[in-house]
Amino acid sequence: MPLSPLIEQILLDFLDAAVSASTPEAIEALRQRFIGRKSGRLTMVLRSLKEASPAERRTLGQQANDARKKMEQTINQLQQRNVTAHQGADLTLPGIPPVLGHAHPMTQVMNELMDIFIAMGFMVVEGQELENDFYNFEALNIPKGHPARDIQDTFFVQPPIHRVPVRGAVVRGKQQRQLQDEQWLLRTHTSPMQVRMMEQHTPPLRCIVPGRVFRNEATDATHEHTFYQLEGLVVDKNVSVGQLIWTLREIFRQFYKQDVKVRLRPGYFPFTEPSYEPDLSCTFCQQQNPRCTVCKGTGWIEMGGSGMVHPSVFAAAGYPKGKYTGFAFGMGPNRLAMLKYGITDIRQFMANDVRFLEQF
Amino acid sequence: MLYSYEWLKQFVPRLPSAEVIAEQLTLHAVEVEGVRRATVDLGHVVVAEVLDVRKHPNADSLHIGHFNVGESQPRQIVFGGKAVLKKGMRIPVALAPTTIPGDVKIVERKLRGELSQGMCCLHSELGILDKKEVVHHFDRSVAPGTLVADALGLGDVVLEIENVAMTQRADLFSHQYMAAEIAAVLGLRIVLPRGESLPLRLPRFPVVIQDKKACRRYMAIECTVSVSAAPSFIVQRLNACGIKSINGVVDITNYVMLELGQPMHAFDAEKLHGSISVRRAQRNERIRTLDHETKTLTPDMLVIADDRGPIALAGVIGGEATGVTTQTKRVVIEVANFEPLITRRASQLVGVRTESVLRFEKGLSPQLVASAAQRVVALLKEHANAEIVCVTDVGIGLEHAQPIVLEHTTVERLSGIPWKTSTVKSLLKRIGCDSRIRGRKHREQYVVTPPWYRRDLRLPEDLIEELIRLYGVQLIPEQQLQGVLRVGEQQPEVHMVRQMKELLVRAGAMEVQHYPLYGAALAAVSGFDVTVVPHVELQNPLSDDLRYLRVSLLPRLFATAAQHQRHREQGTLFEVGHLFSSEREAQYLGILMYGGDDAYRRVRGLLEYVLRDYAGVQQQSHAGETDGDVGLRIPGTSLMIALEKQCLGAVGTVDPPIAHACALQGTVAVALLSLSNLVRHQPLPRQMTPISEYPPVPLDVSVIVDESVSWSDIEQVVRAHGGQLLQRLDVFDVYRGSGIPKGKKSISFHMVFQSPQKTLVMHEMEQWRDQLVQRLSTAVGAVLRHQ
Repeated sequence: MPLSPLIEQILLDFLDAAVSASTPEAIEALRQRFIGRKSGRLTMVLRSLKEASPAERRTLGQQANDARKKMEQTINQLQQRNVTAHQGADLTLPGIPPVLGHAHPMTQVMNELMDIFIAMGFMVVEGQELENDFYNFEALNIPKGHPARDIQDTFFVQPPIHRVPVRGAVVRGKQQRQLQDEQWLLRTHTSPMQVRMMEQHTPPLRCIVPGRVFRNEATDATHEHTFYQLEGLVVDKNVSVGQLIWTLREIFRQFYKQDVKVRLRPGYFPFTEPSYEPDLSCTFCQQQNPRCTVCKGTGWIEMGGSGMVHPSVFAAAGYPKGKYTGFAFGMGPNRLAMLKYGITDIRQFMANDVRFLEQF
Repeated sequence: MLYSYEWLKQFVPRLPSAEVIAEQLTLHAVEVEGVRRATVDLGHVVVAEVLDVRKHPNADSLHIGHFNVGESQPRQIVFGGKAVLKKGMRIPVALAPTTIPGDVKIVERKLRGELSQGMCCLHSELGILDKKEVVHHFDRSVAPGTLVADALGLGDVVLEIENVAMTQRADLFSHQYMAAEIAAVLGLRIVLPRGESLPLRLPRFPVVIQDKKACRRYMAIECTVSVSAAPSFIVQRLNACGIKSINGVVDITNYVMLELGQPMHAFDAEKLHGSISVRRAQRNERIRTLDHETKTLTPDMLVIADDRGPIALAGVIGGEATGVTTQTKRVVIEVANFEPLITRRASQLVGVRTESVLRFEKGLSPQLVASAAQRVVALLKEHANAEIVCVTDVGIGLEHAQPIVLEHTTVERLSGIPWKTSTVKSLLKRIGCDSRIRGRKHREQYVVTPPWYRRDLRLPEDLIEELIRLYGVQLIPEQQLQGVLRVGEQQPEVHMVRQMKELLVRAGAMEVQHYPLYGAALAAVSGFDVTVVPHVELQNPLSDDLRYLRVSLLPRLFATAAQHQRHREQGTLFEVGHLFSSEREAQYLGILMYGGDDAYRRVRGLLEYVLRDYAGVQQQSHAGETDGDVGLRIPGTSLMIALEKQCLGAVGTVDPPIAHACALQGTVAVALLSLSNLVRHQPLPRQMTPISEYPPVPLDVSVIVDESVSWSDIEQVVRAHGGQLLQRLDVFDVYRGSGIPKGKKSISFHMVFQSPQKTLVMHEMEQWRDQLVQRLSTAVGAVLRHQ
């Protein structure tokens, strides 16, 4: 028996009306209109059945009752939904944070720096943490007994250490026999990669070496024995001091996302000549606050070391004399991270306190 | 080093203020760490002469003295027993009422019934000099009533420069050459004292240099002296520069060292026997040195010896027996040139680092010997009644340095700016370099002879550094970096690590970073006992818990996880780091999970997710050994993870005894991955799987198997049977207990089937399931579990 057109029409009208019934009042009105005891449309149909034939009464009655049940169900659902949507909905309750992980703050700062350099066409290479004396000192113009070795208190390891040559390394200099060099150490800077990279590449060369370095010194709030460095190296036919200044400024401008000034001061590093200590205009007080705690009122923040690659470093890498010029620089990402996040103790980075790491 | 402003001004009459010098030196030469205006407010502390001393009648430990403090009446002061005062001594006294450092108020008062009108001050109380509990004795030339601050040169201004900042500039460790540097930077005139050459006609004091490489020049000046205190201007300047006054002769030699940078030593001539020789020490020779210690020597060291044995460790420290005392009548002043490496090595071997070593190790010119000798003799004559007995000068007097050829184009190429030849010449002249120009226009060469005291100038680049800094590096305009445009490639490993870290963080893990070092104790409790597992060991660790280079990420991960468990119930930590052995250094990933349910399966899932994301394939897993790779060893039950038959990682749970020993709570699951090996695998290209139009059919099966049957046994059968249609396979329950016989377990798994070509029919699938159960029964003795 097909559905009576009358009941079907009422049902369709009901469903139409139900869509827009969103308040308790509207829902009640909807109920009254269709199944209200006095004048509900379906109620009227059921009442009118009294006059119908027994056969009609049976089928229509069945259909009307089914329709009524359906409507009651829908109204119940509407009321339910209405209650959850409108009762006790305190929208000022705090959000529930998603369960996410945390990258170490140093990873975040290193990634930021790497992105800037990659965008400027620098290669990124890492290098090994256990180095030999040749790459860490000799090749960088720091021969045995040189007072500059004092500046970098070194962790030496017990022999023997065996390493095979890096695949693809061009053996230009005397480094080959140094692979079995009796003296190995934890690298004191990322600079050993300067000569390693030059051995493996022919200029033009632009690369950075982000990585961890080690110094045998007591720790305090500003000193760690294990920390990060980021080394940069540019070698080409006519690289100049002017370009070094531009490059440093551009990097810091990108990192701090504001205009900055870079000032070079004469310094001394055995593997660069001339050597400079770069200062960055204070991005915290804009060189305005004589009591600034970051620049101590000087207006400048020390940013590491830099200079033009020393001829003996080119020689150690086996480059022909006078063919290339280059600059190198090193910066301390730990310090950048400390300034960026307001971390006052460098030891926090390696303390791995869950309450510290969760903040990043 | 500390520089006295007054002293510098002696050489550069038009010297600007210390602040200006500090700024200009920092910009053009070397960073000045600080300018200390010695306005140490000592209060009214003056030099007082002791007139008489007697015991305090009412206190055993106190004394009463009368002091001439330059006032019309002597003052009476009560003092303690820390220093023994005698009549005639001149010491610092604070005159009441005043306030001395430390905010100590000195007032006139009675101490045990006796009036005290001030206080006798120790170094420690004034916070001056060495700050020890001793009283300073002033020379008779200092008038009572002089302010102590003035008498000690504390009124001077002192510039401080860090020694390491001038490592390459031996000349700057002196006032005269620092003054020359300042004059060059500021373009000022410098006035140098004229010395008179020493008469060598006198009878020679016998000196033999046996090791001419280690000692290039040795002057010995023998003279009679009267050793009293040095004049106060010398004591004041030494004090200002942080050098303690000892006696007249020693003070004068130190003064010349600070003035010219040439260390020297004074022997008591009457205590010398026979001739002086400069030679290598013999094995186990011994010398008692001025620091009252006996040093055992080795042939690595150079000594000055007389006929009886070593009298000084060359360039490091003198011997006690031949030292100058107030009784000394005749001295031999040694002015010599010692080789830097030998001096430095000897200093390191005996553990003594002196002002002398500091200078010799930088490399001095033998030429400096002569001017320093002239200066010391002049001062000794003037202030110690010296009369020369004899002068010996052996070795070379001059170093012949090759002139440096500097190409004009190199100057422009390296600096990046155009230069005038006249500018180059005049700047070189300012630092004492003679230069002449040769060659065509625009291709000029400068032939440059640096002054003898600038031994650091050897290469054209050294001269360019000088030119740029004198010109002002801040005046060089920045220039954009130019060159071939190239994409900055990352080392594959760098890129991989970065992706992996991001993935792990997305999956809710927390990155930790540890020292690559640990101690034997931590290694042992974590299952990596250093007596069993070979470790690379540091020769000079900071402490025992930082002695060994890690062979595994686990020991420190365990320690950190134990820390974290105090604050958090559940967590996932990971670290990416290098591991070391004598053969290899490689990068690994370690993941650790604690707390929550099923840590093992979750950590395994995370590792598989990471691997799938990188390598793009389903890796295989095997129970078994991890190829002996210690970096992948898990102290506990573990499963090996392999890719194309190469073992790459491991995943497992830590044995409870080890976890317990590491203070870990509950089940701890770890996953390890060799990144250096993984990076050698070419990742599969990522391919999109077509989405089927036909409905998926889910099917669940529970089977009962023996405890010995592992999931991987069942999985193999299911996958083989399921073929292409099997889209998903998960275990959702492993059950033991009521309804399951002892020694058996029930495994329930969920499968999803889907065909890209047709709608799968349910009854076919049911048939398929019956066949599967049949096969499982044959393969692993499985029985279908009825609900």
